[in-house]
Amino acid sequence: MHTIWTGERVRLRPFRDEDERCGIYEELHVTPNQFWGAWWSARQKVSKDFEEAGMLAADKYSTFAIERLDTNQLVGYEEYGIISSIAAWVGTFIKPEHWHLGFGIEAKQLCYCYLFESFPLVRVDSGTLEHHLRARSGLLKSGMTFEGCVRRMHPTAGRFCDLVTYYIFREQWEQLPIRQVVRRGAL
Amino acid sequence: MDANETKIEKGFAEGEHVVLRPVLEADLAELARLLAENPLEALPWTLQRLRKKFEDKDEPGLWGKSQRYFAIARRGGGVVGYLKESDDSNRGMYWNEHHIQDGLEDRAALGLDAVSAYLAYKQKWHNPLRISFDVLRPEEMKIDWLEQAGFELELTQERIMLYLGQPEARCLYTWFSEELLSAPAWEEEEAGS
Repeated sequence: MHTIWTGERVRLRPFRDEDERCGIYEELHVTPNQFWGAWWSARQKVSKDFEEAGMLAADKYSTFAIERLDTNQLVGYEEYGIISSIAAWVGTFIKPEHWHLGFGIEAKQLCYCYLFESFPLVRVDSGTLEHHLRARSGLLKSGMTFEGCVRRMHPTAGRFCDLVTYYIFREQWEQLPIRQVVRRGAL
Repeated sequence: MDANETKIEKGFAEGEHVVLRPVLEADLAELARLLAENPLEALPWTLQRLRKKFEDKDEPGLWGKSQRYFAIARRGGGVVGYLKESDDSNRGMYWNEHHIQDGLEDRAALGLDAVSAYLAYKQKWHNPLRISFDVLRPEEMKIDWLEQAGFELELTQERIMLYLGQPEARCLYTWFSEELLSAPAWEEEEAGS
């Protein structure tokens, strides 16, 4: 299966090495996330995850590097995991200086392409916090549909926040314009 | 020792018909069979796989820091089910799965008794904020136990798992503590963009 997926703005690719993977992780998470709060794993843990197969797998937590096409800069990472034999989840982290340029939305769509084309999945899920309006908007723009809410499941900054969940079914992904532009594999 | 010879009447949680207690080595064969019956389980459970997990060096006995298995045993009888409890880094929040042996004549009574006893145990010892159970929608009897015990449907995720070869919905049933429901929620004006 292909490990490089290219759209019009960004490319998903495996991390080049452990340093690249750990570097972006530390840069993104060394301070508490504005919405999720503290979010941290020590370098040893991230390295251990990377060691086995470069953090791309068919059955466990995995991450792609997100690279912008105009400058070739590493701007974030796309993560996914398997929920069941027919469902997976995705998540996106973009460095703040690269926000509002559509990179996160396209990275998600490329990840849908990777997941639906590589595995016999029926649906792909994602979720964010109820008050994280930018993330919610991005999920809808990527082609996902709102599904529901898990109430007060995430404590942050002295409050309990609701988690909102989204999904995209295979037949919805098949209609996305990204399918007409996605390029698979090394260029 | 055969699993049916394990006749411990006491447990962490005690209902009218069943007790919930940590898994003992003698329970493993029965537990492997019960795990394999539960359609929520993604793995083909064998005794060998379960024994390996039971003997894990870091978290032995199916009793870990973030995940614990309770055997559900009849009072004076053998193991008839299990409850898998997981918690994350958020204090007081529990994410569970449960199963009672298919085909038992008194399965409905045992299941409700087990869920009710577990809820009472958590309330007595752990100050839970919220307790959730995943259940596949076709498993109506499990849903009935949860609803009767005071859990409410919180989320339905359509076509997320296979059941008898077909994509089916998974439902999340939750019990909320008063403390959680009365705690400050995120105010709209605090929201970022």
